[in-house]
Amino acid sequence: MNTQFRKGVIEMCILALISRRDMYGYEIVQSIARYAEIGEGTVYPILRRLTNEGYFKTYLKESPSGPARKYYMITESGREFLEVLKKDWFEFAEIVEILLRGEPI
Amino acid sequence: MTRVEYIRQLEFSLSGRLPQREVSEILRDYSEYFEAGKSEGKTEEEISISLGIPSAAAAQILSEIEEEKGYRRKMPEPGEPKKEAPDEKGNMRRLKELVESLFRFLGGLFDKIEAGIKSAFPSGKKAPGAQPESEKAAGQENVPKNSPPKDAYPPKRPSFKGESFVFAHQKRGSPRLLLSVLLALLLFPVILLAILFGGGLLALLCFGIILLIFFMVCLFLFFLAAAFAGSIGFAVAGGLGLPMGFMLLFIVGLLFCLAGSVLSVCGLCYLIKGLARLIRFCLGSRNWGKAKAAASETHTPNVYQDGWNAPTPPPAPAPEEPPLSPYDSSAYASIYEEPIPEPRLQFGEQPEETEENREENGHA
Repeated sequence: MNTQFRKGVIEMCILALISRRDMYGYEIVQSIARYAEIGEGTVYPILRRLTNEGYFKTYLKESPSGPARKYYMITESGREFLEVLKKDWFEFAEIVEILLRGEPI
Repeated sequence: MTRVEYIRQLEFSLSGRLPQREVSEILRDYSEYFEAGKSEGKTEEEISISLGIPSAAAAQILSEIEEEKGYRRKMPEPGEPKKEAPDEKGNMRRLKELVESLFRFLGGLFDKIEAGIKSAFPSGKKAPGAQPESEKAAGQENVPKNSPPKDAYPPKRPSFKGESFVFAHQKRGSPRLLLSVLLALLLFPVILLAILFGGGLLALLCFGIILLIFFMVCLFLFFLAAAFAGSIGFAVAGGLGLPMGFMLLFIVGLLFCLAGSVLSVCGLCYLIKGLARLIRFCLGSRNWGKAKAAASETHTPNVYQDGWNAPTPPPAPAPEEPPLSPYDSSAYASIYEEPIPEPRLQFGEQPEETEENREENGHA
């Protein structure tokens, strides 16, 4: 997948994933990196930024294996931001599809 | 590499760039990542490879933080209270206030010249700030050193008439601002020095003059007294012995006079020359060329100092590179701070420690 596409939608994917259920760092990175074909090292910085911007809250939860894990939970402003992004994305995808199929605008 | 080694290198790359609390947080997160990976059966080696080079990860983290600051300034996110970057704005405001007050002082100093310029250049559409200073500096060059525009640096109280000049001055870019601030800051102590220096030497001069007068008066009085006493001979004899001290005083007084006057004049001249050079230096890189061009309309044609307005033809446009294919992802790498590290290693492969990597890995 094109690099430009990837980076642009990473934020949206992270938000969308976590809005389904709370996840911890490793889970998030694995899910996205596997499907979006990006380096695992690039997911964490974006996740961190989104958390600092207030779209996620974190909490620690004991895990059966090893130390406590930090879970990420989406916030209200995170959901709103996700809605904005989704709307933009679908509008954009629609236009692009029309253009690519050669259909009249 | 092992988890410990990875964390160590990550810490090395981040320490000092972020507050310690955040660095600790990040390291904790990465440790957790390693643990979670190990609990899934991966080795530390595999995990560190999939994460990429620690310094690249650190660079990514830092660039995201920069981006975050950028977002905060431009886009207020929905539902998110608009957070300014208070530090930078506060500093900028303070700096602006300082510069404004300095410029008011400068404006007062350049007041007379500005008035003179405005009468000479009625059309002056350019920022009046460009011209008065250049005119003054141009005046410095053409005028012999002993008749400098002394009224340009009068150690008098600043007036506030120069405010329009102040703000027209500020509307350009920030390098201009910076240079002007530098100039103003330099002028302050120099003027102070001029006052003290010149004042000190003038004091010497006055002292010398006073001594001379004192001596003259004493001599006169002495002879007067001697004449009244009636015996000229006694006066002459006494006149030889006693006023030896006065003689000394006379010589000293004379020396003081000479020293004071000569040094005062020399000192003032040097100071003024130095200031002129300073101002020309500060202005030269900005608009000396432009101002010269403007001034040269009324003065004799001069050689352009730094060829800003030299009528050279514009360089031929560089041949265009072939347009990049939209799917050439290497072209877009430059948009981001660090290229996204593609997984270029096979399973179990060690990253090569070339010279480049050695530096990145913090071994340098």
